[in-house]
Amino acid sequence: MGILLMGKHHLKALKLLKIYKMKFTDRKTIELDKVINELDKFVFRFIKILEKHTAYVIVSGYIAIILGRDRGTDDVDIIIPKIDKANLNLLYKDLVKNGYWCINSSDLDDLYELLISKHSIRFAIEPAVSPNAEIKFSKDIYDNIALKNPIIIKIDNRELKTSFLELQIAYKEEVLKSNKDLEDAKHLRVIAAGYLNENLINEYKKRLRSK
Amino acid sequence: MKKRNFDPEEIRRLNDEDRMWYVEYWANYVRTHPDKVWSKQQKIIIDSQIQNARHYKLSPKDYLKIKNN
Repeated sequence: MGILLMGKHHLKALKLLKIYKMKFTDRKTIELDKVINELDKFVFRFIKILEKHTAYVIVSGYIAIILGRDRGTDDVDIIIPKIDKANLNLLYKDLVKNGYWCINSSDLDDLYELLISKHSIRFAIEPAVSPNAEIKFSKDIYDNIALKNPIIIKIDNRELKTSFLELQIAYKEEVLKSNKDLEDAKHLRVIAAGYLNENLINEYKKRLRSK
Repeated sequence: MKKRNFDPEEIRRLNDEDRMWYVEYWANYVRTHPDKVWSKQQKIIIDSQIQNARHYKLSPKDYLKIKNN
């Protein structure tokens, strides 16, 4: 009888009460049921092209954002392994074909030189400059670990790859240390409480200190 | 009227504390609410920021200068 008296709004409220919360499924997977925003759309669209050409991990600010931090960003940090110029050319052409431009240069030699010299190159949807995907070649053992053992963040049927949250927290607290980074680290610590391995964070910090 | 002494360092410290308090408050909200609930609010902030950025038609050169890139 009770259920018969319920209106449309009550049913909607009940549906809402069925809680779909962020789930740390295992050490390798995080599942989300979030409403996709414009930045998420930009990232998923970019990743769809990128992953045809190379391995990747997204790191830093955007990971705190996709996991709930209420701030925006105009760049999404992406690490890829060192690829040769021919492969970079294929990636570049595919991106341009799909409406992106590289805001650093349109000359492939320039772009490769930037990447090899540990700089980043940025791709945005032409003619905008932001948001953009900021790509860097893997530069050290930590980037390589991240690329070899990525964590998958799943939203519905979409997926993206990132590095261990412990490594990202250690890097933000030990190396970057800006207010924004310390706040991102705090956010990750709270939302992933009970999942994070504190010993691993401390171990990464120790190694980063002695780097 | 008594003149107040504002120590910029102290103001910065208090501001940082306030911000960190809010970050923790929001993260707890995210942890304890369904994804669809917090992400609807997050979408408003992020989408409006992207809209705003579209109004500023920065050239790549100027943007990279700002970013030291």
